Amino acid sequence: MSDFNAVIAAHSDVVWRTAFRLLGRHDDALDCYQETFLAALRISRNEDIGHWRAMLVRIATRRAIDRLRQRYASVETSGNLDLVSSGRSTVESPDAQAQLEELLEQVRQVLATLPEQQAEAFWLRHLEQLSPNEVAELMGLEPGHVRVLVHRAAASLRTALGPSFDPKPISEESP
Amino acid sequence: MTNNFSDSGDPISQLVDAFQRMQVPPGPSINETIEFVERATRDRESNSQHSRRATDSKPRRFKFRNLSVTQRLAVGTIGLSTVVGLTLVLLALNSAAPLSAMERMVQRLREVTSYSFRLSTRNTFVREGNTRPTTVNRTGMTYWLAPGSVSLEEQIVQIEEPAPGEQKIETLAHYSEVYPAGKPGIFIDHLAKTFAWLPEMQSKDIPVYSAINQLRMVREEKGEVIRDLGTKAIQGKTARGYMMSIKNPAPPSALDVLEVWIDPDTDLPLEFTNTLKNDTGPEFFRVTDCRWNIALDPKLFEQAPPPGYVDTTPPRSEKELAQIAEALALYADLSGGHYPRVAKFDAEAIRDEMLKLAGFTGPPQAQWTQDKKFRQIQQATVGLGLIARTLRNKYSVGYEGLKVGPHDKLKVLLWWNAWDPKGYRVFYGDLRTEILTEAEGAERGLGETK
Repeated sequence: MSDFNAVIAAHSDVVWRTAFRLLGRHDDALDCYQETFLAALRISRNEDIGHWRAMLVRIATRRAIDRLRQRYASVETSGNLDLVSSGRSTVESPDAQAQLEELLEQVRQVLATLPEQQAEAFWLRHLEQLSPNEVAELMGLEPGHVRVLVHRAAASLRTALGPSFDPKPISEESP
Repeated sequence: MTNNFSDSGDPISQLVDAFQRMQVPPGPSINETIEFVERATRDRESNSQHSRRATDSKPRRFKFRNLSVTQRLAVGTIGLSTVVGLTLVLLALNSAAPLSAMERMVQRLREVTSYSFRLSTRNTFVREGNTRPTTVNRTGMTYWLAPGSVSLEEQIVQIEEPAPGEQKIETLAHYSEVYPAGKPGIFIDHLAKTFAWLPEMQSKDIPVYSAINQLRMVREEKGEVIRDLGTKAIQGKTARGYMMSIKNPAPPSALDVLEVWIDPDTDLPLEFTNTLKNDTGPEFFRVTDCRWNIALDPKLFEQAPPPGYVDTTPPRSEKELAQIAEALALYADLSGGHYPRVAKFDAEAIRDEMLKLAGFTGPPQAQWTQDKKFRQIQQATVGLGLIARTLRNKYSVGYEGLKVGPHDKLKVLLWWNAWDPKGYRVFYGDLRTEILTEAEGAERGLGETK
């Protein structure tokens, strides 16, 4: 257990950050966080773990996405979510913060509707900033397959977020 | 005015930026986490020891939850659930007006001695990488006889549209299951022409996402009648329909709305429908042609496998497990350090290869039988046959001889659904064998259908 305690000490922050960012709710994130370490401990008893951080992030991501899928299972998310039609204000203002929270929640909702592999690959690649090769190794896929999954997830997100999310240069938008 | 998002020009970059700038509150401390993990580990080990003690004296049985998705769906959603499940639903209803009719039905359901019904489900979804929908239909008949015998036969058919106007139809499964009350069951795969003996079916073995479990949830969540659907003709009778709403369905595959059509003469259901929320999309679930308290042919509950079908019941005795390990060890010894590198495990072909590796080539000779190595190889045929037989089961088995060798002590070489305790029987590369829990197996990717 002492070796695993060192793993906890080294990676608890990143696991918590992954769980909380994806889930956005403290209780859900806490469950996901705890499940992640227990699952990792079970796996480590049968396998040599070469890259703890990546393995923990992958477990946390997969379990968080499972929870998102449960959370939004009864919510239809077809069509354009039209999320950020006015989302161009400062993050310092309460309104802007509320818009940011709304965007994050809507993105979680879209992630929950994507095929699991797409959502997982997208999150690991873009949010956890793992390389395609690292994602491929973690997911047991070819790097090319990972790129396709990430591309499809991004395309789905763009579609779901809608034209209002289409960024224009700030200079054109800002007064 | 500054922008809420980065100005990278790509909405995905903006999205990523938004998540990265999200305020994350402090999580549990390292000490709290260590304490939690240690406590959970102690609890788990304690439970595991208790479980082992409790089951040591029992014969090993195939747990119902260890069956494939197809198998579990077949029995889990309809076998036991129908009468009991509906009873639970109806007991939970709050709405005043329809309750009297519902209460009468609950009473009638408790009194039934037999029934049959036709099940049909439809799940339409767009497969990853496709633009056209795929539809999976399941149809079949189920028979139930007091005190708890179940017999069913079902087919699962997939319909794809590769191009407009074209249809590709494939039968994914065709199977029968027979569970005489209080006796082991049998699963018969009519496509693979195999069968496997299963443990006696008990209510505790109903899987978590089955109808009966969903309906237990209904009871807890207080489903309510939300609409009187009026009347319609079913089986020549004027049935009365009620729609019920189930609040906060969880897990996500749970049903949230149930329609029941009741025969006013018998107060029993003639038909009921609901929608399950699958990962791939909604699955419409319809039970029709309900017939209650009918005479059923005893042959429906006989368990004789059709002639020529192969028994794929997994090995369970210590002797069989040892025979498997000895056969694989002998192969590895003869081959110079690897297991049969095959995707399809043909016991006879592998035995022949072992003979060649040991130098027994050419026409068989009588003196070979005096050779110790030859006799070992012949004995290994039993273990090889057990592996081949098990792998013929299409569901929840696997062999990784292409990737796993004797030095891969921590990698799973061979696995299948275990009986009791529930989980997965695994052989590692070094031929150690143990049972992994369902969670441990899932973490290793076990449980996927071949």
